[in-house]
Amino acid sequence: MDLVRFTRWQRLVRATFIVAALIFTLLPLSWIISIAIRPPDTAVFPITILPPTVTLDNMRNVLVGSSALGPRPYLNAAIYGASSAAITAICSILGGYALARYNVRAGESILTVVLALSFLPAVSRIVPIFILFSYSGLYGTQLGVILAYAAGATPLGIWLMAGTFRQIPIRLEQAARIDGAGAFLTTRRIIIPLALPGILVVATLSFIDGWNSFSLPLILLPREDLQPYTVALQRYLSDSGFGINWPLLAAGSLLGLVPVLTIFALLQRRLVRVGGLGGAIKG
Amino acid sequence: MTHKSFGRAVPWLLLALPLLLLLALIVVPYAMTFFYSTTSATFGHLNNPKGVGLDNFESVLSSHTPPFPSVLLVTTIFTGGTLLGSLGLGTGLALSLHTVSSSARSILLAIYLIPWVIAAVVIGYTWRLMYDPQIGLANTLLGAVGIAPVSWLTDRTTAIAALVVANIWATYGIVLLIMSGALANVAPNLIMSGQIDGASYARIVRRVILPSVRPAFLLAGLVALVSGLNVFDLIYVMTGGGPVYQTETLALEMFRITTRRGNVGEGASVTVILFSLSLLLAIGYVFIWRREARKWT
Repeated sequence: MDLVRFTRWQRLVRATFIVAALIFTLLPLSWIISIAIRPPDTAVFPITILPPTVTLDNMRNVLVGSSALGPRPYLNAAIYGASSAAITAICSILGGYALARYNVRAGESILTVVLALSFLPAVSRIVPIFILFSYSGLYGTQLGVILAYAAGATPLGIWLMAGTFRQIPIRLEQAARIDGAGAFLTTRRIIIPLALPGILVVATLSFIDGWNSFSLPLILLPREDLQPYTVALQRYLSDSGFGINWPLLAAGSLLGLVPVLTIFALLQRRLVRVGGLGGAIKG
Repeated sequence: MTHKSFGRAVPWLLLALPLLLLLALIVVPYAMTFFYSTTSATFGHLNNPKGVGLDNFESVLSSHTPPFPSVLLVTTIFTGGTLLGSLGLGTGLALSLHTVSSSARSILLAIYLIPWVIAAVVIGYTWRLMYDPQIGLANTLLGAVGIAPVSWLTDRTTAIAALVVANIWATYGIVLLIMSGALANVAPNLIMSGQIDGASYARIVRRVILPSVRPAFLLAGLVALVSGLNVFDLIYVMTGGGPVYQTETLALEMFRITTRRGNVGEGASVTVILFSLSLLLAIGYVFIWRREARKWT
């Protein structure tokens, strides 16, 4: 049985709203795809809505050739994202386990304060991080960017992992201990395998965050060969004095989009469940 | 249930690494920013900066390029527009999806959430392309019905409106996500008994559904507000704050003063202003978030 019985008019209004929102969501994406997959000489005024011919040349020209960014900026983004995901996962497992299994009032209060600070979007952190790194010599280093990403993703990660550990019955751990397993073996054989889905979500969210990051590397990485694709793409904004090189900018943006959309498609259900809780993961 | 038999030191050993990371990279940088906001430090002269009291705040507030009230106005319009648009669209969609079949719902939800995972820079480029005077879809569609092209991003009014629309596109997904989660927890029996009692759908929404998702609505509102206030990537790649500072928000001003002018002291003072505004909102947010999280996990 339907949850609510609607009149025909109400159905029509609902359908119109759903379809209008679909168009609003998909139209910009369709347009950037339409520009990215057409030959550059057809991406000029007056423009056709559909590409006259379909080509992958623009994507190739982003990766190889004279005006290419090369694969390096994408590789950089992947390395920073993956390293930050690993650090985030380790810190979140440690912190989450401590909160879930021990009674640490003081630790919880400190983390609440840190959580409040870290729910502030990354933007309010760029100048502070810039000052700290200029002072401490981490400015311009890959390690600096990775640590900055990880610090941004860890607070939410700790809370998510605490939730995950609370769902694992403590008796499983106690049983393993009674059977003679040490702390290390219990962790490796019982705790980590059971918490793996949660760890996966925390690491994935952290990776996406790092892969998408722009303002932090923009301010922290002046060296071109260290920049991720988000920063490197700016080159096409004023390409060889001809204004914006839209075919390559569109193709380069799409290349950045493919990995996140793939991950999202694979892990959509899990991410959506946690995302509602996480709320501010994207800032 | 918790471990009691182990020593008191164990949880602190576990917390040491995450706390170190967060203290070193979140708490310390903010503390340094508060300190530097009262100094005349510049990029390159960060050691032993000279204290200047509140001079930085004064020169930010009395600056003429651009005037501070103008920055505040743009920030307010941009944040307010984003808040209203994304709350309206996100909540409306969540209500619409609430009453469709669950298989259709999960497919539609997946599509609506695509913008949520896309990098803000890529969203910025996507919308800048939409508004491009020559090859943008906006002007192409206008041209098809015989309307003259508009230079969207170079006129103040249309530029701010264009930025708001782009940012609603970027933000409504998270509102939809929070609201769908909350609606899924509304007991179906309540809604059905309302039907049996003969209440109209509009009345059920007003009297049954909306009151029971109010905490989530507040949460979604705060998320939209804080993120709207702090949007940087999107505006930076779409207009860069231009033309002539006309779309410059607090976040962009902070970045420009710090990096372009290298005036770390003044940049830090803008950061303190932005930080204080966001923190007020975020504190409220964390309280609600923790209450909700306890219900869900």
